[in-house]
Amino acid sequence: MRRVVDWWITPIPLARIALLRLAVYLFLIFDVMRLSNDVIPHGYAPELYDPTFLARFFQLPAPTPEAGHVLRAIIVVGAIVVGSGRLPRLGGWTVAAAFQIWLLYSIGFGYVYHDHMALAIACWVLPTVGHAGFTDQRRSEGAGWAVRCIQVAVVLTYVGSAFMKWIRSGSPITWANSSVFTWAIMRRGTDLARWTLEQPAVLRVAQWVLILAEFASPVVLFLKGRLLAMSILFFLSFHLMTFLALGIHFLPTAICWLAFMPLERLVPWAERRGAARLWREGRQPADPEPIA
Amino acid sequence: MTAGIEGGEAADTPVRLSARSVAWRLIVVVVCLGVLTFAQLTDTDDFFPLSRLSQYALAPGRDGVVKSTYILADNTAGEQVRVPLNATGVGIGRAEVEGQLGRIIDDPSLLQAIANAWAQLHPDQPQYERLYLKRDVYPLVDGKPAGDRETIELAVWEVE
Repeated sequence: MRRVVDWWITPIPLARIALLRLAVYLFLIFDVMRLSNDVIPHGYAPELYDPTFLARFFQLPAPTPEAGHVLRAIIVVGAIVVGSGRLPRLGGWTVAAAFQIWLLYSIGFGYVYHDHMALAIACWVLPTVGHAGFTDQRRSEGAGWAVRCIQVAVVLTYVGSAFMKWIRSGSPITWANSSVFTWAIMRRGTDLARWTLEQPAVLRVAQWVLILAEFASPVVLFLKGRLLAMSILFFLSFHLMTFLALGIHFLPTAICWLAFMPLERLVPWAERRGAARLWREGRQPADPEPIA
Repeated sequence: MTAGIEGGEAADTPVRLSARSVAWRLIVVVVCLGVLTFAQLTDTDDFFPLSRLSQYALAPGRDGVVKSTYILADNTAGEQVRVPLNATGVGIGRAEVEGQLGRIIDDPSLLQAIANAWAQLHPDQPQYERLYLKRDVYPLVDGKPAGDRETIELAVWEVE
């Protein structure tokens, strides 16, 4: 039991939280502008509002275009403030709540997408860490818990998806041998992918690779070094392929893979590089040029 | 960029959490994992963001069919056009129409919302006068598309 608890709160440097915040909050701006950008237009079709549990529980009325604009402004301004390291708690909770409502309005019209689970969870856990500097190498259990939650959410996106394939089709083998990729490519395949319709065997192999990788994904929680890097690369390549073949990018999950990377080394690495360049140019890094 | 979660060179003692802080964090984890598991087992999207992860979970047979839903519109310019079911078109996506298909077939007046959204998002464009909710069905033979598609009209709505 003690080991399980320790695993969930494995201390990590606060700098990783600072960089993760920067990436996640900058991504939120892109997300509300380009990905979950149907909230404001949804305001013009309130009759089709079909709210899910949280929206009903908090009695969120059908969205209006004005409400969408206000939410988006809160998210964008909040993301800039919190991403740059200011107001990590107050600002972070505000962005989390606003983005949650935004997503409820995006998915509350009859279709729930699944690529936002880890990102939504990241928005809720990052404020719990409080202040974290970009060069703060102190390790913190609170930071460890937040990062672990994001990592687990990423992995569960794949594992849960594998289990749903099992539940829906009766067995993972039935799914892997089905024509689901043909179905997907016929409905929304790009020109790059349409040739595969004549090669159903290729698609079935891809289906087997996918479902096996999804079931195996929890392994990444225990990998380190090169193996971890290769696993991350594998899943990101998979998302790149589905983007090229179907236009499905899964970017909100992809960005959360950053939680697996030692981002805390980025600033010291950049500083070393900067110092080395100054050295090569014949100057002492600790001895900046006098201001004229 | 390849180390695990223990990355970082700081040798100082970590910033610890109090017992209470650890407790609520673990309770949150257990509750969330419980909700997510329940959502998978009961096949529900209701608890978003902890919903079923059912994208592409269906398994059409090798000799099954592929269905695709769309909406056509007669507009004020006298043309028949395909309604752009996306965020920048009418704001409602194809998957959303498919997700509420039963509701729309039972009550085609819901299609009025699509015409209203188009009118407000694109006031300068020709407007919709009549909407046709349709489905194309493509047969598969041994995993390959084969034969002609069949088109089914699911609902028609005269725009008010």
